Amino acid sequence: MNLHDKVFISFQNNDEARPIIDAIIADNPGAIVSEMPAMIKIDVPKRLVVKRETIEQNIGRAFDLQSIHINLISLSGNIDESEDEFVLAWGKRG
Amino acid sequence: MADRKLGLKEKYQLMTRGLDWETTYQPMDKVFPFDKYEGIKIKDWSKWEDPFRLTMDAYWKYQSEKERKLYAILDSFSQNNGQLNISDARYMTAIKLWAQGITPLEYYAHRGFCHVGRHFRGAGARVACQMQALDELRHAQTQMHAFSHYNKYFSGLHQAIHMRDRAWYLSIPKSFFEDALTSGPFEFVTSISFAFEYVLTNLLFMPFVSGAAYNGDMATTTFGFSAQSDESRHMTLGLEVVKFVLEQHEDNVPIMQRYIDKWFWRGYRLLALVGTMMDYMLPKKVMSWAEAWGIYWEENGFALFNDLSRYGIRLPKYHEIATKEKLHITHQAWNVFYTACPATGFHAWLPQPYEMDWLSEKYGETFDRFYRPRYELFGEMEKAGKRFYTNRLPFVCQTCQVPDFFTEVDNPMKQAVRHHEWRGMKFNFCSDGCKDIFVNEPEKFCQSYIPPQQIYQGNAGGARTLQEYAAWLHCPMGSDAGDYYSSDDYKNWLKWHGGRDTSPTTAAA
Amino acid sequence: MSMVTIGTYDFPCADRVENYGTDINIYCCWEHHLLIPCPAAYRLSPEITLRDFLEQVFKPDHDHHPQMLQLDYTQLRWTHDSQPWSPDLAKSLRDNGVTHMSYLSFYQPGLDGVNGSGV
Repeated sequence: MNLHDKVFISFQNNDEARPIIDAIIADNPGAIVSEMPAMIKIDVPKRLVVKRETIEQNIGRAFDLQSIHINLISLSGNIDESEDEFVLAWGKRG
Repeated sequence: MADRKLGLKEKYQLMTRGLDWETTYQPMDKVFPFDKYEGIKIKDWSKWEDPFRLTMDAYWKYQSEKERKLYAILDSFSQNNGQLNISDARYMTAIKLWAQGITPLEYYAHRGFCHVGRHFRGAGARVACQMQALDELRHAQTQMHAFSHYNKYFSGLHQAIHMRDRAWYLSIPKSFFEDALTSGPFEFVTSISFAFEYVLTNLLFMPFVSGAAYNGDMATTTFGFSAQSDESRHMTLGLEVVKFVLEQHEDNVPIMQRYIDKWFWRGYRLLALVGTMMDYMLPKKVMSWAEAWGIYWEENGFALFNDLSRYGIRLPKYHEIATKEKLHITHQAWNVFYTACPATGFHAWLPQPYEMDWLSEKYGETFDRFYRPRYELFGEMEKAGKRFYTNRLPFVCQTCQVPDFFTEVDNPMKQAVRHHEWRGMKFNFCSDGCKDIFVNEPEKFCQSYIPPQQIYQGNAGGARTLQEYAAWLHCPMGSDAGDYYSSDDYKNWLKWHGGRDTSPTTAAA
Repeated sequence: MSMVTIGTYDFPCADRVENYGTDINIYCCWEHHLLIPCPAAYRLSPEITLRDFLEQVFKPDHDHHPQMLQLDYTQLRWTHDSQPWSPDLAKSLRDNGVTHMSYLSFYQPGLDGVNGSGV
C-alpha cells in the first residue's frame, strides 16, 4: 500500500457509530481498520465512500448522512457530500 | 417540479449565498480593509466551495445534540466520582497543561475567527468562519466545565488565566496564537485552520484523547472527541482556504508557501509539549510520539502535500528535521519539565521502571544511549536526597519561545543554537526554522515578550530568581509545583485509595 | 525581507540593552553536559571577569553535576556566538568582546558527560 495516497476517517467507538463503520468496511474493499481505545480509524487508498443506503440497511430506518458529524473524530482528503454519499478523496477539488 | 425537496447542494447554495452585497455608501475596500494587503489576489469569491454543506439550521441541530451528549457524560462522571478512576494522579499533569496551555488557545481561536469572519469579503468564507468562531467558544467553555470538576480535587487548575499571562512555559502557546491573531486574515486561516488544525492537531486529539480514555479520564475523552468532531469541519475549511487561494492566482503560491513553511514549523515546535503528554504523562501508554508522528505526519501529512503538489506547493521547509527530531524532543522536553517544575503549575517525576522499558522499546538506542543515563543519574541524586531542580532561567528561542533543549539533528550530544544580528542587536534561536521566521519578520519578532528576559528586566513582580518568580506565579512548591512524589496530589491520591499507589506497573495494564 | 503591513510598523525591541540598566544579558552553555537541560540566561555586569563568572555564577548553579570537579579552565575550548574564541579569563566580559545577548559556550576535550553519554 502506498503510504502517501491514503485518506482516512475516524469515529468514536460507540453504538451509534458502529453501523456507519460497518457500512464503510462493506463499501470500501481494502479498508484498513485500526482500533484504539475509544476510537476507530479507517484508512483507504485514494478514495473512501460512506453510503447512506448501506447504513440504512444496517439500522433498518432512514438515516441523514449529515448526522455522521455527531460521532466523527477526524478525517483527511477532499470532501464531496450529497444526500446519498459522503466521499473523501485526493485529486482535483470540486 | 416546483414542489420537489431541495437537494443538499441547492439548499446549501440558497442558504449561504446572496447574503452579501456590494456596498454603495462606502467603497468595498474601506469596508473590508484587511483582505488585500497581504498580497493575496482573489478574482472571484463565488468560486469558494464549502466542503461540508452544513447550513446554520443543521449546524444548531447537530451541535445541540453533541452538547447534550457531552453534558450527560460530564454529569455522570462527576456524580460517580470519576476522578478516582483515572489510572494514576500523575496523569493530571497532562490535564493541567491542557487547562493552562490549550484551553486559552480555544478562546483565542474564537476571537480570531470572529475577526476574520468579519473581514473576508466572500460570504461563503464568512459563514464558515462564523461557525468556527462559535465552535471555538464552545470548546473553551466545555473544557473549563470538564476541568472544573478536577479542580475540586487536584492542584494547579485554580487560575489558568492568571497563569496564561505569567507562566514562562505558557508563553509558547500564547505567543504562537498572538502571532497568528496579529497577522492578516489569509495568514491567520492558513496558520490556524490549515497548518495547525489540518496538519497537526490530529496528533493531539486522536492519540492523546484516545490515551485519556485508556487512562480512565472520561471527561477529557468526551470533550476531546466532541471538539474534534468540530475540528473535522475546521480542517476542511483550512484545506479549502488553501486550495481556493491557490486556484485564484499564481502570484498567491509563493505567499502561501511561506505561510505554510512558517506555520508548520511554529506548530511543530508547539507540539513538542503534546509529545511529552503522550510519552510521559499517560501512565498507561497508547502510542509514542514517534509513532504518532509517523502516522499523522509521515503518512497522512505527506498524502496531503502529495495532493497539493499540483498547485506548486511543496512539503514545508525543514519537515525532514522535524521527522529526525521525533526520536529526541519528548525526552529533551521532559528533562526540562523534571528540572524546572518548581516554577510551574504542574508536577513532574522520573519515569518508573516499566516506563523506561516502554521508552526503550519505542525509541530503541536513542533512548538507551542519550536519555536513560540522564534519568539514572537523576535517580541516584534522588536516592541521595538531592533531587535536582534548575535554579537558573533558561535560554529561550526568540521565535518559538521554547527553552532551547534541542540538539543538532545529526549530533544529539551537541546543543543546537542559531544567531542573527538585526539593527545592531543580537538574537538567538533554537533552529534554522525559527531563525528563518525571524529573518522574514524581524520587526515583529524583535518584540517577543520572552519570560526569562522579562523576569531579568524586573517585569515579573520584581522577581529575579526562579523562587521569587514561582511565588509571583501563585504556584507554591508542594501544592502546585515541584516533584509529584512530594506533592499534595500524591498524598491525597494515596489517602483516597487506602494508602495504595495505583500506578500501573506495565505500560499496557 | 521586510514585513507586509497595513501601515507604519515600527516598535522597539523588547530586550534592548537599555532595559537592563548597566547590565547585559548573556547565555552560557557547557557542551556535552545535557543534564543541564538548556543553556542558561544571565543578567550580569559586563565588568565581571570571565573567571569570576565561572567561579561565582556558573559553578554554584551546576555544582550538582558529577563532572564539575573535573572542569579545568586551562583546557576549555570556547566559542562566542558559535565562532571559535580565545578569551582571557582574567579580563572582563566587556574587554573580551562579550556584548548584550552574546551566546558563549565551552567544551573541555575528553569531558563528554557521565560515561561519555553527553549528560
